[in-house]
Amino acid sequence: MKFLSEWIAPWALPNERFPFYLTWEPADVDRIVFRPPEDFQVEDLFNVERFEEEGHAVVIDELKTPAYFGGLVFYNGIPEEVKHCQTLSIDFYRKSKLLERKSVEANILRPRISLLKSPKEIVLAPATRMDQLLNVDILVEGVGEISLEIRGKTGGRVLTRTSELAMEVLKQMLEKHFLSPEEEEELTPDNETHPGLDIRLQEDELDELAQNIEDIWLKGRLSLEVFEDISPEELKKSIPLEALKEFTAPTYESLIVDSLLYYMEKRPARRIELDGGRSTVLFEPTVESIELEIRYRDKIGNVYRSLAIPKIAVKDNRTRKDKEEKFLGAPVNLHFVFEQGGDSN
Amino acid sequence: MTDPVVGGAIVAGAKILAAAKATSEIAKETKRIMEWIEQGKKRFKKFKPRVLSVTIDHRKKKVEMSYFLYAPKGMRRKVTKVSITPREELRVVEMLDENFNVLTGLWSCDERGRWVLKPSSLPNDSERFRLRLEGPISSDVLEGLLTLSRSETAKEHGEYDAYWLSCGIRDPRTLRELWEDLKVEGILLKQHVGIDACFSTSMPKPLVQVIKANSAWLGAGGTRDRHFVFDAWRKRRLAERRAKDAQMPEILDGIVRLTNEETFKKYILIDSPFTLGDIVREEKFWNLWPQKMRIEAVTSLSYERKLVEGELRFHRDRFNADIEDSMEGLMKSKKRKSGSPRSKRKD
Repeated sequence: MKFLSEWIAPWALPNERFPFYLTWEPADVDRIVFRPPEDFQVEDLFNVERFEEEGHAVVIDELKTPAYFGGLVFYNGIPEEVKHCQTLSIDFYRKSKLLERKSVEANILRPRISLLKSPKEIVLAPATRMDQLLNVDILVEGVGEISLEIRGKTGGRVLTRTSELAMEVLKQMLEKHFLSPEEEEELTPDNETHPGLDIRLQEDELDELAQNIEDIWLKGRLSLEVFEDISPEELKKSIPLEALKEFTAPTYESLIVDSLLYYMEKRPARRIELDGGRSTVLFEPTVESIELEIRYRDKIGNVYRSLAIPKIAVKDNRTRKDKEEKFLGAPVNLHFVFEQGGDSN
Repeated sequence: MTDPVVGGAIVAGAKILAAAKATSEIAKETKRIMEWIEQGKKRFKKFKPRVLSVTIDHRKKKVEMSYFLYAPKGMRRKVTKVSITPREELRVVEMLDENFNVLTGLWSCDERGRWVLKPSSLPNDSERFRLRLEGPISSDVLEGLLTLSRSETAKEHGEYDAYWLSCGIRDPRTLRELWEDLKVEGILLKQHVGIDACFSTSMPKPLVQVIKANSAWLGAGGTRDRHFVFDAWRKRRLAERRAKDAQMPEILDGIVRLTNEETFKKYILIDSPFTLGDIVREEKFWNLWPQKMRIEAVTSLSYERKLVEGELRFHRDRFNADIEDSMEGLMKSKKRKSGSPRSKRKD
């Protein structure tokens, strides 16, 4: 048999569908046996008229047109290693006799993070620069973008800054809606002190933002967060969509600027996205140690094994009065070192 | 034809299941398109019709048929009229004479909604004509015919990010049944290229300070505390001075300029046989932080060229350097006239 072309996608994430194909000079092939590795599944077959499964093989008895076969496959699971190579084997038969065995290699690449350095102990004192207290160095290997989320396992409380634009508009609007006229008067800025940047919203943008808000509204996500005692239906009844649009325009300007900051914090390095922006650990007075873990997932939603940051002892040298009066918060400063571990070239 | 067995231990894909379910629908539509081609030949029988080409336009979801017609002066033109009924769902795209002039006003729509041609009105200085007709083709048929894939994630290669692209004829037999030399053109693969990290990591520090100071100032405005507002305003002015008078609307304008199609095109390279289609900034709100660009890669397939693959490259390092230069340029520019410029959208 003479093969004219063969191609397989040069890389894929775990669970990502990717194609392969072969073409050959017409030969009297009456059976093709395609053997993907055990942990692979087949999403689609190209140019196949009839097939059946035998064990972990796909037996093709008839092609639609001669001399071409291909498919869409995926690795079903999450490999431990950054680069996981496996062979897809395709056997060609004529009258039960093996004519040719062809192998194509699939490269499953994944992102992986590991810990390079983290503090063993941190000291809280009146002169402590809180913004430089919690530094964690992370090694990033493999391919693809990852979304990280820092969670507190024990001690401290981790806060994230999730200021999704539409959600923010809605929150502000509801807060305003439920104010008494006196409270509203009190909180409305006067013209003298209210600054402006002369950044305006286009009409179509306003419509889209209102639509976005409506989606959140209809799903009832907000009422759970802001007003535990009011149902989404009650909220919808009390504030019509038109009112949302009216409210959106003046608040847009400050939201633009806030969103710029939000995204700068959210994307501290290439390939890295921090879910909810930068995290801050809040130290309550009795905390003696903290334990953090970093959860991460790739662009198609694969969730990888979390990275545990070893216990960090907290030495609180502040006076008792200081401890009682003030909770201290320290941002988690993540530093990333990149290594192209999954590069096959 | 036997339907493929699906839902087994290995072959569990949604695509193959959907394709199996749509088999009868695809067969019906294939038959309809074949009837169109035949109808064209029948209706122009007196003009020795020849099918020049049949093309599927993937982007427009249309099938286009191109016919050669021979209509010498004389008896043949005395045929009363040729018509295409609404039931046939066909549309006359254009008619050309032998010098490739577009002929207008020959086809009209009658009271029954039919496309009608009076051969007697054909121009006398041409005997040969080319007629293009088109009709719709459904997404189901296109999905059954073709397979389109692109990488979900980029792989870094030094200064650029690479994405693989692949297109193929999934069902070459149906393609061939429709028309021997059928071409599928305008096949569109949409690849998303993330650019948010490019901006967040390349923005000069003084400009980041301007953004932060503006945020604090706008926040202070809601408090009615004049001292607080004044303090925030002072810090904002200080940040702007450190950034050599670069102001918020200019930063936003700069971002918009870097992400318009013409500018962004120079950072993208696509392997042949793909060509670059439209480039669109994806997010809904233009004044916000740019997140991703949608890059369209276009190609064509036929029975002879069943499969194509290639790579799309985004020259990330060059883009980052240009962001830095452009933003630093805002700080170096000469003193502006008083009053802040308005932010504009790209049009």
